[in-house]
Amino acid sequence: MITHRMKLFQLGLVLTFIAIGSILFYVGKGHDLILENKLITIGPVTYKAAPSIKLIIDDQKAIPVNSGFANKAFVVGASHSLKAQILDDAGAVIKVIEKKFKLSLHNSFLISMPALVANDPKWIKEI
Amino acid sequence: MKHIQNFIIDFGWARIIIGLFLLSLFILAPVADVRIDTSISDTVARFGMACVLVLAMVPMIQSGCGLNFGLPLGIIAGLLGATCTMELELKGLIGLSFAMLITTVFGTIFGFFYGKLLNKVKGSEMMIATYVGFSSVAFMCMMWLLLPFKNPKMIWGYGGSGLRTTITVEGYWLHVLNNFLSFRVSESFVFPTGMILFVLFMCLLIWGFFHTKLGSALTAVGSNPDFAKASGVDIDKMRVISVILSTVLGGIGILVYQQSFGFIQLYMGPFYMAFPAVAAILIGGASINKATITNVIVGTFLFQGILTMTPSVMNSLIHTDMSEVIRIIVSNGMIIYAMTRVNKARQKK
Amino acid sequence: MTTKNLQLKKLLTLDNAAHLLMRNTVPILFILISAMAIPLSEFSFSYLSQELMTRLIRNSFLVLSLLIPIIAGMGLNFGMVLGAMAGQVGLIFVTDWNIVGMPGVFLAMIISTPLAILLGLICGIILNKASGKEMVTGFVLAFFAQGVYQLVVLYGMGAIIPIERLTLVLSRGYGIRNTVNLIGIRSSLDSAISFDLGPVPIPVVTLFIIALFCLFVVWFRKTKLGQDMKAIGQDMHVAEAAGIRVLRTRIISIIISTVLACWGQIIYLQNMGTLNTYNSHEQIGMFSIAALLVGGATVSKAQISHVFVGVILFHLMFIVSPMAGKNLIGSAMLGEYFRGFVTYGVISAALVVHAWTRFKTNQRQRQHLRGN
Repeated sequence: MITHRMKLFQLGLVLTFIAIGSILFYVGKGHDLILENKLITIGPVTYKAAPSIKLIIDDQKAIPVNSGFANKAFVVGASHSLKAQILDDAGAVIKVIEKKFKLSLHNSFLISMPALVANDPKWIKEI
Repeated sequence: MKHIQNFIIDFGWARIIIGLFLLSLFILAPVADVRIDTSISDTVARFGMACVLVLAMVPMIQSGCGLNFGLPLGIIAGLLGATCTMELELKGLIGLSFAMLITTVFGTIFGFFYGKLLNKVKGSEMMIATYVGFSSVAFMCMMWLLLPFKNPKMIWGYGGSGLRTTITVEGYWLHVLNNFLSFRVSESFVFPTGMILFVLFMCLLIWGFFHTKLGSALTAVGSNPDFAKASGVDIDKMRVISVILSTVLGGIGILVYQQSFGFIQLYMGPFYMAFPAVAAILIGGASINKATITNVIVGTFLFQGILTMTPSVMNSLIHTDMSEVIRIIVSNGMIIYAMTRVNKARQKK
Repeated sequence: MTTKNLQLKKLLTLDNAAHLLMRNTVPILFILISAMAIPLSEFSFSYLSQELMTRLIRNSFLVLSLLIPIIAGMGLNFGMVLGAMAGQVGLIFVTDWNIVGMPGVFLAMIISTPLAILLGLICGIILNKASGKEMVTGFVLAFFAQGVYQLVVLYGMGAIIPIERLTLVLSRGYGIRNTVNLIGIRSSLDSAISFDLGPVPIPVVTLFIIALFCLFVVWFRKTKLGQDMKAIGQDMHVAEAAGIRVLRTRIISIIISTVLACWGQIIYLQNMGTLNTYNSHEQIGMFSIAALLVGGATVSKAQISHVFVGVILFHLMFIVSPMAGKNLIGSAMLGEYFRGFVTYGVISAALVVHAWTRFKTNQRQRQHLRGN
């Protein structure tokens, strides 16, 4: 005999699993980040390549994104922070830009160094 | 209307579906640009190749030992016959006949022990049969490596030892049966008269056997064991005889298969060979404890027909080769269907 | 009086020893073979212990999933392959969606569980219909399911079922590739918390999950459902007469086993790191069953100890045979074939013993009824 209570319990169990599944999906989603330091056109504005940058994402090792080149990174989850160390020709740090960002459920994103340096709101976008 | 209804219930929906499927494939063939004569030629050839292996199922089904999943044991007897004959450099029809002789000897010995084993495990024959088949193939894998064969056409090149995985029978008895009295029907269709004659002869032989006193006793053991016992029949002895028959037929079956296919497949080759044969006879209308020669012929034709037609027709129509998947689903699905039907039939009675 | 007692005691211990020997022939045989083969293979102790640890955590869950159907009298559940396939489908999706690490593993478990339940239900219904031939039917059902799996994964995915990451798909546009790199979730359970015991890495989380499962089995045996299953396992008709809904309970035992096989396959694959899309599940049924039987279990009786003893012994022989064969005769192939032969031989032996005892019991019962 399957009582009302049991049916409700089963329904609740299913909903819990869907909820947990969604949380896991969100928390465990991996994202590819393409870090580009090249000429880029966002809307009406065009940015030239920025000087060489060392990018530190969350607690990862610094990733060099040299002027005119691109690199890649991998993160898991939604909220992240980055520290961009802008270097001069000698390799010393001139300026540091810190940003916090939240990623949607998309697979890959493009982070443009020149847009980041110029503080363009579209410095990161889905691809 | 009632007659048709009864026929459908007895014959089973699964078989009707398969029959219609094959029919549709033949109808679609010209649409798919597949030559009818090639298709028929292939189907007939494959029918001949497989028929005796399917025939090997009959004795054990009739005597109540269930479906012979242990057919690989008989196939191994056949492989031993083939390899020994090749080692002795015997060719042509004489070679094939000698191979059949050796196969019969090995088959009888293997079948005897196999039958004795099955007698001790009445009620679980099919499961044991499957694993006896598997174990013997695995055991022979070791043996093929170790047995002292010397014929350079059979062993690994460069002075290696142990037999090759596939050995060609070209130069020995390739198409020996096929070509006997063969005639050309069309450009690409050569009717393998010899093989078909031989296969039909074997079917007639078995059919005749089951109408002898011994054969009827065997059938009685399977369908009504108490009656058989009361009539003074030694049930265990009959079962062993049926197993020996099945094993020997399996050996002869693989020899017929080889002379048409062209290769002797050793090592893991025979591993799964029981399943197509089981599926074929079930498709032909047999059940787990009753099989007739008609089942054999109809089933082999339907099954091999599907195996031949599906790749060519489907490939041309939807440009995908789904033949492997269809083969797996049809053959195994048929076996499961048969396994789940027995209860219904018994419940009806 | 005292001399008689002493004689009796002697008889009892001798009889006990003989009985113990007979009941555990398979594991003892295995220990003997391994004892001969290990020195022949020239593997070091540290290498062997490392390999064994890996295989233990990889396979235990899968072998444990076989326990419940044996308790319920369904015999060896060859249908566990269906659960493994469900788990693989889950992993394909998780890899496609790029979910990594532990969340990936658990998400795979969550999404494949409904599929595993459905497959277990179908399997259970079919096995009930084939009463008396459960094992053969389960065996053939596993092959049938492989055909359906290929239909879905080789033809459906990419075509009808949307796959985002095209790296997973074959060059023709649909169908999953032969190997799927599970680099995202590779060792995520194992490495989560792990320490080294000498040369051997100990994955704490995985061991914890396996331990939880063992506790579950122990607890389950004591529940009403567990007791019902035991009753069905002993005698179906008596259980039916006692009011147990036999058919329903048997289906439940298969569903539980299939779901556990599903999770077990996910654990297995996260340890392997690579998914052989069309092969990983094939041997899983055979090897898990062989391992369980090697541990001393029979078709009608199995305990947790059998699982671990079996996995260790079976995989020990599995590891050393090829090298032993190579060093003994000069052919590693021979060692491999030998190991195949032993695997099938072990299952054959267990099946024969089980069938023979069942036959003998039935015979004795019939004679008893006839008044002999």
